[in-house]
Amino acid sequence: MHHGRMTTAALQLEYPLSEWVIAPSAEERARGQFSPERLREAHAAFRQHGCLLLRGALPVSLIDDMRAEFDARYGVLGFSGMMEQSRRPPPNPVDPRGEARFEITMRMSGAFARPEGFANPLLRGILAPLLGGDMQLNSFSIVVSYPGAAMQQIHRDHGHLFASEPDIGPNLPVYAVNVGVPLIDVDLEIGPTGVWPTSHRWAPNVEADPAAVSVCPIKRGDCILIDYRTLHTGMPNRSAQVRPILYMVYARGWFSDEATHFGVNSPDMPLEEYDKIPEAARKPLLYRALSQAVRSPRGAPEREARAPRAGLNPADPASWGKVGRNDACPCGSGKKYKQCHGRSA
Amino acid sequence: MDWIVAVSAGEAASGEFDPETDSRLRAAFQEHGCVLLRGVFSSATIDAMHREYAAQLGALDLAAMRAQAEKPPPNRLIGVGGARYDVTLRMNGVFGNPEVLANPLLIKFLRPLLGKDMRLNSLTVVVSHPGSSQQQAHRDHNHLFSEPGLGPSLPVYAVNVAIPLIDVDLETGPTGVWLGSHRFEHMTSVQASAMVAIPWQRGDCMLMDYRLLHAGLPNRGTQPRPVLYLVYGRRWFADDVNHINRIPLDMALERYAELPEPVRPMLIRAYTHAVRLRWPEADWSSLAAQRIEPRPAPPAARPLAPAVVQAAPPRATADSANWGKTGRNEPCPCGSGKKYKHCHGRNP
Repeated sequence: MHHGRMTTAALQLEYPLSEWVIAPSAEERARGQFSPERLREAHAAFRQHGCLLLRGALPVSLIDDMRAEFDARYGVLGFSGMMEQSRRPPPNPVDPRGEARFEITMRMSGAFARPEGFANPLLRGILAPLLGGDMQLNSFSIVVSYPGAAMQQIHRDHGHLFASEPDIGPNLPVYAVNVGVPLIDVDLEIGPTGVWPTSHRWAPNVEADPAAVSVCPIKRGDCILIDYRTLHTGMPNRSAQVRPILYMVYARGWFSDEATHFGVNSPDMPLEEYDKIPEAARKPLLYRALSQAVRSPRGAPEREARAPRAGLNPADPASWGKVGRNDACPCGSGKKYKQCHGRSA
Repeated sequence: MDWIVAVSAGEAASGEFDPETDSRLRAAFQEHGCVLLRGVFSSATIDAMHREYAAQLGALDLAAMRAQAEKPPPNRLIGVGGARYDVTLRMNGVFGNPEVLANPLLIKFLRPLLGKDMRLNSLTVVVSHPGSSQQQAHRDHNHLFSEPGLGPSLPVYAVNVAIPLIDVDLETGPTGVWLGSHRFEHMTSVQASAMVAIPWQRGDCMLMDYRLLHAGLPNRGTQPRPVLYLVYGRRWFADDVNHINRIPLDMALERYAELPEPVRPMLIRAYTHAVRLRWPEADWSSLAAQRIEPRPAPPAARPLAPAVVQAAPPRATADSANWGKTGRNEPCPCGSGKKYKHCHGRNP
């Protein structure tokens, strides 16, 4: 247990990066499965340090495809456009995170809906034993930092659970893991994520020494797993490049991160995308995505709990009268009228 | 029967338990995972609730509910075993009334258990129709952590408050409970202890630790039995599994905006659900094609933006001098929805 501050020297002595960096072999990558020894090693490292850097866990081609799609969707906005968008009222996928940094809830379609990303077998192999059988994807977003972004405040993604009883939280098993996936090679100039290993076990009042940050360059295909309680920061962006990092949060099914994703529909996967996902990558991983999608896109939740309107025959469109485009289709399909019988109207 | 406590007229009027009652209640809740409070609500309030319930659902008999439950999602009505249905009520009229949602006696009892930032998670009614059989013993939600021994040892994370909208005798079937079962590791332990059930009167409410084992008794009467359920939880706890295919709180943004400011944070999820329902209106993937500048006037068809801004949540006050101490990770009191540290707390 560490109380108070640690010096850089002590940290380097005690936490050489090699202790929390794991590089799967080519064979493990090909099989999508760690050897039992390496899995044990990874779990031990994660439990001890509250963070883990996986080298080359994700296919670089997928990362490049995500990057291209991100650029196509948001690249042309530029800094000022992003700023403008972030000021719009909710619902709004763009949320400012300090100066020159934005968090964007990415719609999970195209490359962002490919299971080798959000349901990556190596990643799930590590996370599922930590987070239990009901592990879910809790949010899916990109944090983009623009050149000139300063170092973030040192923070936890979420405070300890049961905060009023300070002995409980630091001793609990992990309840959520933030997985950072850089969409470009991030060197120290561009500013990777810096972490304070073992801080997931620190009491809330223990402060991190900024000089004791553990940080190393992260390449495309790498990902960094951070216990939701671990102190970390976005390092300053001193380069001329825009730095997008995908953050996928995996959590126990009951965990709700209201503060970070306030009023946001994350993970944001439309039902038509969900329908294309192979069964093995759906439940429980996409339970929250599905549940939120089912609640919303087919129209407001079924407002009329009473019997159907008199004289309305679901099988006979002629009996329906005027139907709003966004209303549920009277045929009972559950789709919006405009996406069902209203499409040809 | 130390888990049954009658609220005195003085306590009901002042909205505060006598210190002695308070500590007795807390001890009983810790031990049993359940307390029954008599006379929290006046019968006038309960009758108003029953009227509003009847206005929303009274026309639905068993057959109509069964048919409704079979409809595709989103569907506010879920079958919960036999002739029993769980329905998300619209938070209209008395169901949107802060005196019901944030009853002073209940809130003062629950806050120390669930944290000052506790949230209302759901507001539903369970209707058991005549002929309902006895439910299986169940918990509303499993232990948070399945690691051996951990779940039962943790403090409570959510409380289900059951409010019968009619007098429920043993014939009509109240909810039976296994006292102390919130500390059972496994459900199999129900065989080792007896279920307890007592008749409910209008004005009663039963508070159940979300881990408590319980079961709805059969309805052998002739009346449908509506019981309102309000679930309060810690801020980081969300119950999705009991609300498949529906929102668990259904309050229009306009109603939310009318709530007094002190109760808004507790009801913030009603706001969140309402805002999320708007989410698909915008096609974010075409943002790039829109090119933001020049900023278009909001089209008349989407007048929600201003309402949403107005309804912006936990706005304690506009004057930051009055906020007192705000946690860095708390929502900023200005109502921006951001963490304090990302907003007004950035340059303290």
